[in-house]
Amino acid sequence: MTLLRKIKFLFFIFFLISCVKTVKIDLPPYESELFVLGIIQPDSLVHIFVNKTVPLDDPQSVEYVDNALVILEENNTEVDTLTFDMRTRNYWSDYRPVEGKTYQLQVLFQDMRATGQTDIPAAPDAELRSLTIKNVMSEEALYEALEVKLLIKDEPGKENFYALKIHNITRNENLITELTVANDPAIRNEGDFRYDDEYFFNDVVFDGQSYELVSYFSNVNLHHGDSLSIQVFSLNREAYLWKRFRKNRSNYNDFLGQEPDFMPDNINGGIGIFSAKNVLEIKTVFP
Amino acid sequence: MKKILSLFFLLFSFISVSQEIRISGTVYDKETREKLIGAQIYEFYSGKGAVTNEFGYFSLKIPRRDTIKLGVSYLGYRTGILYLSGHYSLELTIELTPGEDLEQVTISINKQKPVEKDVEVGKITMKAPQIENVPVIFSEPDLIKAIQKLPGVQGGIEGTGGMFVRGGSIDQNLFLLDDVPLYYVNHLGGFISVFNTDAISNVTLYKAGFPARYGNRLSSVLDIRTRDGHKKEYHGSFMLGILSWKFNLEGPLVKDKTSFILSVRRFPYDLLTRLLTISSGEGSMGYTFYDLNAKINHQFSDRDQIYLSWYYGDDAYSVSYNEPGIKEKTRIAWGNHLISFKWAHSFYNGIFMNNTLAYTRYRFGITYKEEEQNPSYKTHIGYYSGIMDYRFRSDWEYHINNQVTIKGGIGYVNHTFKPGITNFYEKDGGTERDTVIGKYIFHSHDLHGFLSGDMQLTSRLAIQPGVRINYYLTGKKAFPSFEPRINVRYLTGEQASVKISYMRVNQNIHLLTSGGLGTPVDLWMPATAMVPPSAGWQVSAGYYRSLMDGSYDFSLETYYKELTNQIDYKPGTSFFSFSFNNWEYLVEKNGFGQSYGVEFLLRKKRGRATGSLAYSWAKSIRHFRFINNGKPYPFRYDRRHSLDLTIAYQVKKGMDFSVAWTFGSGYPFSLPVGRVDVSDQRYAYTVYIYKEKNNFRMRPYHRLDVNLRFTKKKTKGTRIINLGIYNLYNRQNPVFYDLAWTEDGIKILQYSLFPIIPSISYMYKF
Repeated sequence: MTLLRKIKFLFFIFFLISCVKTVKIDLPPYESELFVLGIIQPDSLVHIFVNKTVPLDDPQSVEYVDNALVILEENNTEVDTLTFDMRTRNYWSDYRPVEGKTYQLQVLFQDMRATGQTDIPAAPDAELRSLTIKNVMSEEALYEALEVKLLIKDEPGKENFYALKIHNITRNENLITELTVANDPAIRNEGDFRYDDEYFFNDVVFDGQSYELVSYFSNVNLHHGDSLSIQVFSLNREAYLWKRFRKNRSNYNDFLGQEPDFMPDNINGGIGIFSAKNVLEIKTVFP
Repeated sequence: MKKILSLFFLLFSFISVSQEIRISGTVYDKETREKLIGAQIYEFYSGKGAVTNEFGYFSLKIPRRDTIKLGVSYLGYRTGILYLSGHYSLELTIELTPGEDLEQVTISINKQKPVEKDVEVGKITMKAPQIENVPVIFSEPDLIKAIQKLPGVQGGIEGTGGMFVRGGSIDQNLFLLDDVPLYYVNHLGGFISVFNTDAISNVTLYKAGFPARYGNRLSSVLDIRTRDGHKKEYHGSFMLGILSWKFNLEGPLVKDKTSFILSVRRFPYDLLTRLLTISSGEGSMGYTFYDLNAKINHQFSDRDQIYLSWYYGDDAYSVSYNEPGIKEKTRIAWGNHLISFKWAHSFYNGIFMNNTLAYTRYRFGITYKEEEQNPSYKTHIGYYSGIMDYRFRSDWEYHINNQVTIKGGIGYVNHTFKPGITNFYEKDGGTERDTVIGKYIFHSHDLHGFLSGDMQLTSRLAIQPGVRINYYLTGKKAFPSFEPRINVRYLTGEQASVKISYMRVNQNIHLLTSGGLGTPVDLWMPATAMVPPSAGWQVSAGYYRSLMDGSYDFSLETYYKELTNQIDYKPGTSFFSFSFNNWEYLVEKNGFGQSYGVEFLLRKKRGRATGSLAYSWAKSIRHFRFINNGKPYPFRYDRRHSLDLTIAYQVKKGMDFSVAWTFGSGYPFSLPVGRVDVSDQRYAYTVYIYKEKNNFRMRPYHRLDVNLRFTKKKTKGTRIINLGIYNLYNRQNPVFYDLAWTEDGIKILQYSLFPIIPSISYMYKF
C-alpha cells in the first residue's frame, strides 16, 4: 500500500502543478461567537472550555477566554458558577452531576451569551462474559491479543452511543490495540474508531437487542492477577460526534483532497457542544 | 420519382392469409453497406410508419392492397420511394444513398424521428457528425465533451472527464459500447474520453425513463454504437492533432458480406520525451495513451449477422533509470479491455433476436523493478486493482403489429472485483522472498430479465410499460429487485406532444472515488450486506415540439429524482488514508440523494446554420446521518444554472465555422468561515469552523470556443484542417480553492487550469 499511496500522491502533485494562476476571492461573512466545550459525567467534576472564535482571515488569534461568566444549572436551578483555572485553561466546578438530571449551561462574555443543555444518560446495561488470551488473525498477521466479551443490553427505540476502555490498574496503563479488522462488526462498522485509548461504537448493528460484543486488545502487557477496570460508557449524541470529530481531526493533514469534518454543535448563541456521558465500571482480575 | 430511387431491394414474398401484410427488413448505406440506425420507414396510403432499431431492422404491418408506397428516409441520405405490390408480406433489403434530396422532390416524411414522436422522456440521440461539430480543446472531437453540452449533464470540474447527470454521481452512468459496459472512460485524466469518434456511428443518451433492457446504473445510460465498416471499398483516414494521432481503416473482407473497421489513436509525445531522456544515457520516461477499436461483421444472409468487436485502451506512464550496476523501472498503466461477440437474427414473422457474449475489464496496475549487480539484489513489486466481467445477454423483439411491439430478454453478469493485490519479490544474494499481499478478490453474480412493450394505444397515445427484474448475489447475500418503468406520450397536435415517465433503478456496484472526481485509482466494489445496492426512482415529464417543418425542435422537461443507499467518504477521510481491505467501514452508508430541475433544449437541425441552445435549472442534495451534522447539504456537483450555446455555420463550400459558449453557475465547495483555538485537558489545537458542508459557491464557469474547418477534395481523398481556439477570452475558471497563510492572515486562493489555447489538426480521408 505504501507504493500505491506514493502513486496517489504523485497524481495529486500533478494535479497541483497543473494550476496556472491564483486569484484572491472574498470570504463569506462571519462574526465571532462564543465557543463552548464541555462533556459532563455523573460523580465527576465539571470542567468547561470557553473561547471566542475569529473569522478565518483574521490575523489575530485568541487562545482562550478567562473572564467569562460560566453558570451551571440543574433542572433550571443554578447550582454553581465555574472558576477559571489557568493551568488547564478550563472553567471548573466542584459540583458533581447526577444521573437522570438535566443540566443547563450559560456562558456570558462581553456582549455574547451562549447556552447549552444536556441530559445525563443512564449508565449502559452491560456485563462481562469472558477475558481470554487468543491468537488473532488480522490483516494477514497473527497477533496475541486479549479477547474481551461483553454483553450489552441496548435500550430500544433510540440511538445509543458507546465507548469502551480497559485500564490495567496494577500497571496503571490502558490496554490498546493495533488490530483493525478482527474486531466486532459493531466496532468495525465505525471504521475501528478509537481515540484516547477508547473504542467508540454505536448501536446500528444491534439496535434494541442484547448483543455480545467481542473486542480485541493487542500489545497487551498483562499478567495473571492484574486488576482490570473495564469501563463501558454511554454517550449523548454530541459527545460521541465530538470524539469522532477529534479523532478525524487528529488525522488531518491537508486541506485539499480531504472531505472536511464538521464540528458538532448544540450551543445556542455560539458554537460547540455541551453534552454528557455516563459510565459502567466493571472491576475484575485477569485470571 | 424513379430518379431518386437510388436504392436496391431484394424481395422475398410470403403468402399471408390475413387482411394485413408485414413489411420488414434492414436499411443500409448504399455506398458502405453499413446498417442505418433510426431510419424512418413510412407507408403513404395507410399512414403507418416504423423506425429501424440498433441493427437497422424494422417491421411494419399495413392493410393489404394492390399497391403500396413506401418512403425510406434518414438524415444525410436521399429519401427513397418504393412502389410495391401490396398483396403479400415482404422482406426488404433497402439501401439509401448519402446526399441531399433533389429540390424538385417533395417528401412529407421526416429524416429523423421527430422529438415529439419519441415515446421516451429524457432521450437524446446524436450521430458522429453532430459530435464533430462541437468545438473542443485541442481540436479533438470528443463524445463526452459533446454530451456535456446537453441540458441536465454536467462536466465536473475543468480538465476532468466523466459526467454528472441530473444530480447523479459519476459512477451512476452506464457507458455501453455496443451493449457492453466500459468502467473508466477517460484518457489523460479526463482531457479526452476513450471513445474514438472515428469508430462511432450513433449515440443515445437516456437521462430518465430508461427502457427496461438497461439496468445497474441510477442516473444515465449512454448507448454507443460503433460503425461496421465499409462493405464495398477500402477507405481510411489519418489525423495529426495536438492531443493525438489517429488512423482509421475499413473495408470489405468479402464484398457485401464481410467488413472490418480498425481505428487506432495514440498520444505521441512520449516518443519525444523518451528520445530526449534516452539521449542522456541515464534512463527514459514518458506518458502516452492509446486505444484501438476493431470490429468485424459478417452477413450470412439477410436474416443473420455476426459481429466481433474489440476495444483495447490504456494510459501508461513509465520511467526507467540506469546507472552502472543499477537498473530501475516503474510503469503505471490503467485502461479497459473489451471483447464482444454478437449474433443478430431476424425471423420471418417480425421477431428479432440479438445475443451478446462479452468480456470487459478495467484495471490499474503499477510495476516496479530494481536490479543491482554488485552485490546481487533484485526487487519486483506489482500492484493491481480492477474489475472484470463476463457477460451474456439475449434480447428479443416481436413486432406483433404496428401498435404493439414486445421486447424481452435475459442476461447474466459474473463480476470479479480486485480491489488491490500487491506482489512482492525480493532476491538479496541467496535469500529469496516472494509474497502476495492483500489478495482480496470478490465475486458477485447478476442475473436479470426484462419485459417491455411499445404500444400505440390510439393515434395520439403511446406507452412503453416495462419491468426489469434483477437477482444480485454477493457472497451469501442475495438482493432481488423489481424495477417497474413506464413512458407515456400523448400527441397534442401534429408536431407537439407531452410525455411523462417513471422508473425505478438499482445499482449493484459502488465506486470508491476520490472527491467524486473520477480518477484512475478509483475502485469499483460490489454491493454487500453492509453496503447494500444503491436504488433510485425518477419521475420526469416534458413538452416537445417541432417547428418550421422540422427544421427546429425544442423540449422542456422537468424531473424529480430520489437516490437511496448512497455512499460517501466518512468525514475526515481522504484518499491518502484509504485502505481497501476494510472499505465498508470507512465510508458513510445509507445516504439519501434528491434532485429536481427543469431543462430546455432548442435545436436547429437543417440549413447552413445548425446548432442548439440548452439551459437547465437544477438542485441536488445529499443527506447522511453523520455528515454535516445530519443535515442535508448540496451535492458536490450541484450546479443551479447551466447554459450551452452551440452554432455550426457553413461559410461556404469547404469551410465550416463553429462556436460554443458554455456557462455554469459555481459548484458548491466547503470552506471554513472561522477558527478557534481549543484546549482540552490533554491537547491544544485549532479547529476550523465549517458552518455547513458545501457552504460556498465557486465563481461561475464560462468560456467561448471556436473552430474553423477547411475541407478540400483532393485527387485521392479529402483533406480536413481544423483550427480551433479554446477559451477565446481567456477566462480564469475555478478548478479548486485552497487556504494560504499570508502576513495579513488566511487568504483563499483560486486555482485555474486552462487559459486560451489555440490548436490545429490535420486530417486526410481516403
